[in-house]
Amino acid sequence: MRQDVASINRSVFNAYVSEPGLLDEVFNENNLVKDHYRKVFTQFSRYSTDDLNKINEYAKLSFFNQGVTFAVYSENLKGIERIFPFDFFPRIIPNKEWEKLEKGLLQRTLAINLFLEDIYHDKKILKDGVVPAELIFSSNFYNREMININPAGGVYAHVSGTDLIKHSDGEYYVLEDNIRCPSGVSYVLSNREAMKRTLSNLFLSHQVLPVQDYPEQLLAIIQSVAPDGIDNPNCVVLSPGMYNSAYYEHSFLAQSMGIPLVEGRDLFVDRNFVYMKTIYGPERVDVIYRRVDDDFIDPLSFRADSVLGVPGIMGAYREGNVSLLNAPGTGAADDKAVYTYIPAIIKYYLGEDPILNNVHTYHCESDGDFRYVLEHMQNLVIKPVDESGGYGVFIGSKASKEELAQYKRIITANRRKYIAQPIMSLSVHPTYIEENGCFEHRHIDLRTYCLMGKKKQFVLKGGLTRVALTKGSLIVNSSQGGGSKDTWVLE
Amino acid sequence: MLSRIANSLFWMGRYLERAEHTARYARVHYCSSLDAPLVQKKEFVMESSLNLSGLLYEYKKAHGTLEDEKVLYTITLQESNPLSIRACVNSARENARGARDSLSSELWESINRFYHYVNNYSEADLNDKGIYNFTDKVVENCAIVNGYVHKSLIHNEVWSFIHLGMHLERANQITRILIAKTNDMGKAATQKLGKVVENYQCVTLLKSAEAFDMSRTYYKAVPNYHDSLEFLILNNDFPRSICYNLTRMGRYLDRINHSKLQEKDSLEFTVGKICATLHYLTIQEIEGDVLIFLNNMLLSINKIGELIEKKYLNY
Amino acid sequence: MRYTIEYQSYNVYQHPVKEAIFEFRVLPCNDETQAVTTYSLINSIGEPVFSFKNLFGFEVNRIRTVAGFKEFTFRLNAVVQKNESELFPYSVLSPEEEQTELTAKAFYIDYHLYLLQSYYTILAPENREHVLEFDRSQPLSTYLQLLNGYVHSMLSYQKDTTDVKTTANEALNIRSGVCQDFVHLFIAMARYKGIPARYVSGYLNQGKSFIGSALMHAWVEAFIPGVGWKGFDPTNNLLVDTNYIKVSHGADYADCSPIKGVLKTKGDNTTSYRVKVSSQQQQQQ
Repeated sequence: MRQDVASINRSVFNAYVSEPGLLDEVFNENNLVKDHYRKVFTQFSRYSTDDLNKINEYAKLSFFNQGVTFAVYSENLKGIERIFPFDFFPRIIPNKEWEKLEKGLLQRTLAINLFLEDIYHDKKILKDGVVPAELIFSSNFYNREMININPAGGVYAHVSGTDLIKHSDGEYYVLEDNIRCPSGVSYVLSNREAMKRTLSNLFLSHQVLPVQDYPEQLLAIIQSVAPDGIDNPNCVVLSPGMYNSAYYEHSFLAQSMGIPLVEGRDLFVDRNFVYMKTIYGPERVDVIYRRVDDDFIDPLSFRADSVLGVPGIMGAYREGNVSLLNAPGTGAADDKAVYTYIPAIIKYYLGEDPILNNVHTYHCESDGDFRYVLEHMQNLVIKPVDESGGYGVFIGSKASKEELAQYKRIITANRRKYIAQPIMSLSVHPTYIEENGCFEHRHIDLRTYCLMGKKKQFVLKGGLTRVALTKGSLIVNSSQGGGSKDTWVLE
Repeated sequence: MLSRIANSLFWMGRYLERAEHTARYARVHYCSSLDAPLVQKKEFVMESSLNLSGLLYEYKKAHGTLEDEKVLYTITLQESNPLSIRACVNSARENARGARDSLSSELWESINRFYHYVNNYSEADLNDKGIYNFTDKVVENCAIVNGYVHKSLIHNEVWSFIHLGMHLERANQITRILIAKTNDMGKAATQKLGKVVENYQCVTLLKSAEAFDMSRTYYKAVPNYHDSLEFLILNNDFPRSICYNLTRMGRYLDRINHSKLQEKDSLEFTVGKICATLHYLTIQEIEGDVLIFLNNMLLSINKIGELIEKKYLNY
Repeated sequence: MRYTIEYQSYNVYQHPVKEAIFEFRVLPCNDETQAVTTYSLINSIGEPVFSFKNLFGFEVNRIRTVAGFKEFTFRLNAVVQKNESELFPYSVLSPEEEQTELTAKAFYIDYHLYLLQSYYTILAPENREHVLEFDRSQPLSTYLQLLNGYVHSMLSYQKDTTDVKTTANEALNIRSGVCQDFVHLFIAMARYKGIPARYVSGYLNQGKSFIGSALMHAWVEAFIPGVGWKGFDPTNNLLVDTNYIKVSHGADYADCSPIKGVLKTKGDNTTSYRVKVSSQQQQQQ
């Protein structure tokens, strides 16, 4: 039966070669289609290259029409608006697999929140020596202003974006936690929209769990952490403004939640309350979902040259007169050096074994690890602990001798700044390659979204599957030539 | 509504209207100069166009002599000139972008298309196809955008602020056109050129305000200065008269205003007072010294703009 | 001892300021050695003053306005009662006991705000050899007094060679500075030796011809296990006594700057302030 299906028309899959050692999401080791992909595969097999090109164009058009763009600022100051490349072959996650991920994500997020509460209050975990105190205090994102503050509901990381990969052993591994201002969720929703417009018939044969409820859930989380005694909180989304690369997402979220999109200059603080400037005068603001980084949020407390922030907002926050999502200082827990302690953090606070795997990590700071790193550089990925977006990442297997020597010097000069991990082989997934008119395999990962509020939690079903569109590349970030796929969790 | 959004909407309206007026004025003047009575030299017309957009001084500093192509380029496409049509359209689009959530996608897209059209139009295109083609498209695009403003928005504050900007700018532009033409005629009069020139000037004046046809049907006569002034300043029903635009502004302000108390020298009071004066003014009273009247009018209009900003748009 | 203190800040802007928020950290604090008896805060634009406590528990006076102005004056008048306090920073624990406490993990965690080097206090590696050696067999109080004199002799007091952004490292390079630089250098060295040290800003008795008394002054508080925080003034090489009226402390200058502001305006501005501190001995009843 399976053989029949696979032989209907494999022309668009003809060039498709599974590579030994890589885990393919769609095909098993015998080059047969996995059960949960059968129906989708069958349908795509029926299409000719022309059909697929049409589908591809149609999907692109859907993004143009929705206005889903991000801005790239390298070339000129005005910025160029680009479409985030989209691949129409959906990534499918069977329900059983997903259930475990979801439990694991909630466990992880809960532990991270308890950890943040602890390091800004009693610091028990540091005193017990489970996590080195120096590591936390020397983090760029450790925020003194948060000491002894009690955020509403005890929640610090309301929105977290955890990046997962599937390794060649078939297991998911957490690659990093993003708990400052994780972005990309708007792509999840617009990918689904594009998919429904383009290949609606595929949905008829699958029970795909919805993602469209994200804005509604986010709003509920936002409202749940309003300051005490506020019944009908005035909530806003704070954006750095339309020149920010993620502006589309900010306005999309504000619009779909039905709350105002504001900039720093729309807000002011008077007597430790936050107000927005409306045509009918000041209006009090209770909860701010802010997409402005910690450093920029209050020129009176942090960077004095920031024009994106609201002078005095930290005072209002300290008084409990306004809630911020995420809380300032959450970055102290998503530092890549802290990442390696997350399993220990989970055990410490919850007394449970971590459900999700961590990638083994070597700290250049520790002498033993540092020696190992220098000796095995070719087999490691080395990265700075405090950069995001894939900048400054060194992949040992791809480096020339000169590059190896140069990077050795760089990490030796600043050991605290670097960690190393074994090269994880990201799973591959058939992806439509326009230039070649056929499917080829490309590496993928998964950015998940987990929300935590006062007595409320939510995990977006699926998330953003990111694709490294360059052949053989492991870097999936949109700023560095990545694309994305619709991600289906089946009922 | 956030004051910043209101500000963006207001200025979007103003810039759109400004682009339209600059385009029409340049077109009407340039085209009419082609077959103008003897003395209506092109240079004279060029100067008038630059004058209207307040560019004469800057232009002379940069170029010295008045040359067709340079003048036209300065007025239409020069990006570094903040008063050029392109700069106005860019500003309108920038403001629309800042308030995009409040606009219908039809309206946003029409502005966006307008923006792309103007920005893809090169200096070579301008020299090649001539001023008529470009300005015509600008006026047409403005009409399309206005259409979407009218029929794709809820008639709420968003709509009111766009209109406030448009009406304020239109009253402003009409006043400026009247001043520029009155000056032109003054110059012509000293040269004793007689009726032909007066008639010519009145036609360009009315056409610049898109008022030529309507004024003919209204007065049923060959245009003269007296009637043209009356039509453009005092007519109650013509959408391009100063009186009409200020009256409309009064209405939009009433829609927005929540407080029923009217304080002396408040925004609503000031607009109401100017409108009431215009309703009971005759053209004979104005004719005594037209320029003084018009310059005072310009000051009043600017004053209204300031009061709107102070009351609603500060952020 | 009773002091009357006047602080006045005067700011002039080239173009009108549309919107402004000012923060002042100039009001003396209440602690075991001093108490503010009366005070008043006056500003030239007549806006109400809002007061709140900062991270370190000190009062910050904030003024926000949209009134539009080109000149802004702020004045504090206060009367402060200062008590005689134990002057000499003795050690009560033995040097070994002091060291045990200073090197304990929990101690580091509890005092990390005053132990971590910050922007102002990081010394370049080549300058770290200038840090005064700490003979750990001697009492901490002895070391701190030596350090006070050491820093005092290291820099010469000069105005206009440094500004509010100057770091301890830069001051050390040019071997000069004002009280703020002396303090940052003291703090830097103490912290390199694992001793908690904090920045203190305040007023200095103007009747005694101390260096730095014409303006707001700065000194150090260092922590001695078993004793607590003790004040050192490296600018004058003096121990802090009743001549010192404290306003606030923090990790470094950034936590204590007397005036901060965020304004919407263009062009230049000039800002200046003056301080008057006069004392009278308590009249005997």
